[in-house]
Amino acid sequence: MPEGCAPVEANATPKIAIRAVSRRFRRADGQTVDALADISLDIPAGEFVCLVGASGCGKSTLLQIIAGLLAASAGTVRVAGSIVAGPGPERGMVFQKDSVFPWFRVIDNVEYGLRCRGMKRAEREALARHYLERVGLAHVARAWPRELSGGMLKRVAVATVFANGADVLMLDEPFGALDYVTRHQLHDVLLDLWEESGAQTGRRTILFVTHDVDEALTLADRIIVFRTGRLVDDFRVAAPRPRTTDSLLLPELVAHKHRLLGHLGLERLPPPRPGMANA
Amino acid sequence: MSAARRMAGERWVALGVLLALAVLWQVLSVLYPVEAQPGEPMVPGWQVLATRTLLSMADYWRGGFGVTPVSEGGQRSYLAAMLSLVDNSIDTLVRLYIGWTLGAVAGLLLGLAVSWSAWTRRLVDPGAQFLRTLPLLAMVPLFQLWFGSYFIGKIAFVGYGVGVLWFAGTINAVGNVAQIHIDNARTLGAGKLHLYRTVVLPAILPELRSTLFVSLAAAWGAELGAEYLGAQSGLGYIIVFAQQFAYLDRMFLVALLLIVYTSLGFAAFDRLTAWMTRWSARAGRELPAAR
Repeated sequence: MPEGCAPVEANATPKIAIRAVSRRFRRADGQTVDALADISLDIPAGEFVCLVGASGCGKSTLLQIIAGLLAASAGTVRVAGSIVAGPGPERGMVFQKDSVFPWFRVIDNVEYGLRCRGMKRAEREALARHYLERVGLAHVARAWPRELSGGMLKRVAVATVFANGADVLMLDEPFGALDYVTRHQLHDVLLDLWEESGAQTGRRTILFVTHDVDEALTLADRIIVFRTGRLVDDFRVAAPRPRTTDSLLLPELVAHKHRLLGHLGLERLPPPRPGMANA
Repeated sequence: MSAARRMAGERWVALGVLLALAVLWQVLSVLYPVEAQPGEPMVPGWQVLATRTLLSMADYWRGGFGVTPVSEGGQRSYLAAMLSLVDNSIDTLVRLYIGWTLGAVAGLLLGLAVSWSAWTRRLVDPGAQFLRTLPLLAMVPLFQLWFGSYFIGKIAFVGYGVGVLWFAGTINAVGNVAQIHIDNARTLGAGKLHLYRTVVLPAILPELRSTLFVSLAAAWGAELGAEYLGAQSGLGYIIVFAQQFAYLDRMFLVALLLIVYTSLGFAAFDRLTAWMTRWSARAGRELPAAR
């Protein structure tokens, strides 16, 4: 783990262990691009981590590698001790684009992963209804996805991954295309589900990709910053929850915000932390 | 205007157009009384079609139900004519739809096999791509020599004509399945077979609608082509027989019957596929700006 990363609790096995992961793409003109370069990172179980960076900095690539949808050019990713070799239901993903299956009704979408696991119909329907209730969509359980708004579709996607019981949830700029109000409502939904799961079986580990600084500060226990395929900062956000728009005015969060804006090139860069690349 | 009223209006307009065409045909039959041979008008009017022509269909009755065929000394009768039309229609329709179903299923499975794995692609793709390039109607004599005039030959021929279309359509449709739906299914735990059943197949359905309708048209072409060249029954056989003696009215009557069958078939499949793809916002028949 690079020096400067948020410390992992003693004796705690990281839920996600990323070791020297690189990913190189070849462009149509024959040139190669390093989307990720030598990333090492430990993420303990139950942590809500936001990956922040400008577009094209490699954060979504890392998420896809952890999800098993993309192979790393070098390095390994372990989740709960097992090397990631492909996608699996223990690692759920909410995508940036709409991923809800339009040919299934809303409730059948939420049940999809449960059906893959062979869960009995009554059981999976009850579970799906519970999560639809939690995301405020119980009234449209039998609707077709085309009848839903963009925000409702995101709720369906969130309900689907939570219902599927994944230990690790990855959300790739899930609310980026939504309006301000809907985005905030979905933050509440997401945090409620995260905390609810914590009360029952221990919090799930969440990796949330965003380039919205306020979104990261509202949601995260820990923020990891990427720039041009490199990890350039990694810090904890200790502000108490629940965080509101007023919380963003807390001195600690204001300082974090300036720091993040600096990384995004909107303010003067903060001095590099020991062990961190500062391109 | 409500959608229901607009649809009702459209139906009345369609009916009006059909009636106008029927009237136009009748007017043409009066204005152009030329005969292909004595007693055989080039443009037979409805009074000819509904009487003499319909009765002539009795000539193709092969016997049964106590009605003696004309070829065995029986009299022409409307009963024999109707039995003949039903009998020959069933022959044509059974060959057509069995051939179409087998071809569609085979083409679909082969098309899916191309995307299933590198191995299935290597096994299926070269051969199927080669077969695609053979012109359908040029294969009629070959099928005739292989299978003679047997039932199986016509089914195989229709199936081949339909199968290549479904093969190409399926490959194209599978290539257009959104990657995000595949990724979503995989991260939710779907295995390969489950992925094909629950994601690939439903996703390609809307695109396969056009393949379905094109293949139905091709199946009719293939079926009639096969009947022209080597059948002893069926609507295509009646047309060829009528052509040999310049019985234009009989050809026209069978053509009308074909229009009815194809229209009913297309309407049925249109409804079925519309129901199967009811989850998608169905493309309107009008340009959005015209609504």
